[in-house]
Amino acid sequence: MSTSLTVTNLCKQFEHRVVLRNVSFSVANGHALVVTGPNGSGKTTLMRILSGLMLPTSGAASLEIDGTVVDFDERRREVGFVTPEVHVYPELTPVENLKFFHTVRGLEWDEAEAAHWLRRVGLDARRDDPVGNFSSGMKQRVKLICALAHHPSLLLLDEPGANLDERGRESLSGMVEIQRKRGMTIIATNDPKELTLGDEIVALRA
Amino acid sequence: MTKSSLSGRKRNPSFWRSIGAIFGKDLASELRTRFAVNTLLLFSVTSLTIVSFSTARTPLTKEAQSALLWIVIFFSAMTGLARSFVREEESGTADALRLTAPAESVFLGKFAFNCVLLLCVEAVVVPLSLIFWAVSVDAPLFFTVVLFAGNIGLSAVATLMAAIVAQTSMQAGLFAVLSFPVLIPLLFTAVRATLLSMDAVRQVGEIAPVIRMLFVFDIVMLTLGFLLFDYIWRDRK
Repeated sequence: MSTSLTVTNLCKQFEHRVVLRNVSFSVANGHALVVTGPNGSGKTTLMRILSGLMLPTSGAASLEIDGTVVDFDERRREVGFVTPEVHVYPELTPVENLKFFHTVRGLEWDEAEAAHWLRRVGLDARRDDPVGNFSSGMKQRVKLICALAHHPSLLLLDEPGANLDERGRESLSGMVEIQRKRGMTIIATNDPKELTLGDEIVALRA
Repeated sequence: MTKSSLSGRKRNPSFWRSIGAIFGKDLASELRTRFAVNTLLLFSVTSLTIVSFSTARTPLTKEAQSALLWIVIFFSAMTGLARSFVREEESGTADALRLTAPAESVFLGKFAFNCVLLLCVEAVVVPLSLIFWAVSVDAPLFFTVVLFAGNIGLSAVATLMAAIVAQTSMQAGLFAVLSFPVLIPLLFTAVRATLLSMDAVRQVGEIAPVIRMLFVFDIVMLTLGFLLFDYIWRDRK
């Protein structure tokens, strides 16, 4: 399967404030791109546009799979998105969260695969505890597996290392490597350790 | 092109499973926190008790009984039914839901949850009101059908309005303000139908058109909700 993302002259303006101005880049299958820039440069806005949660003021971000441009609804299901602003359900356990997001995406639930993901991020011992009782680092791990478990074509990671300890960061690197075999990854970060996860860097200006 | 053909992953085409997942998730969350059901029951039982004590020496007319019953149900609904969407926005899970679930299944899943929540309230409020206000229901079947139809209409409007107000800063105030004008036809009809079902003199031919009106309102609101929800739910500015 061949996937690619092409961003062309993307602009985003909130009333009189221009957040993104003529941003262009492309990412090919198996590649990881890092987006950096100072606070307020529009990294999160760019990620929200790429996820399909937000529309650009002008320009386009087209996701192609096997030569076909994926429409808005389909793109939302082709994307895994981790950002500090989007959370999983605190009343549900990690397994319940995984199962819920799998089911609403219309995918078959696989208990063994869920167990595999929980082991991978070191949460198998806490599989029956509500996520609300977890530390912020453990919540971040749950968010990561919920974004990756449906095998997205495009994985968007906005400050993915936030709250993660060394083991969590190792899991994160492993997940980016897994994603290279399946599709594309875009990481928005200013963390020097995460800059090394990408093949290319796009720097946004404030 | 479907997801299965795009990524090679097996995809369950069932729309209903997605609705069931949203309903089940809300139910599980509610059973663990009991926030909405406690709020609804506290309000409805308190208001019912106040009315009962203040009118203890003055028997209520059937008109007053049916109107008061729907006032209690309406304000109970306004107190708690917005929670399902407000909680999503407050806890930062709304975007996760937007990214993963079709808008129509979100509407129907939330609607089903609100229906069940309101049914729980009615299961407590209605028997208590029958006892406290000494209400005699001469046509219990019609009475039940009226409550059921009213529940559907209230839940459909509440679900739609809750999705709108959850994205604003004045959630509680706006919810009742927006819902009330839309619900006026339903409430007037439900009060009238309840009154008719309390009175043995009435004939089926007189009650049936009123109940039909209630179901027409339900169908219109559910259809509108189903068609419009995507535009309300997608916050893509």
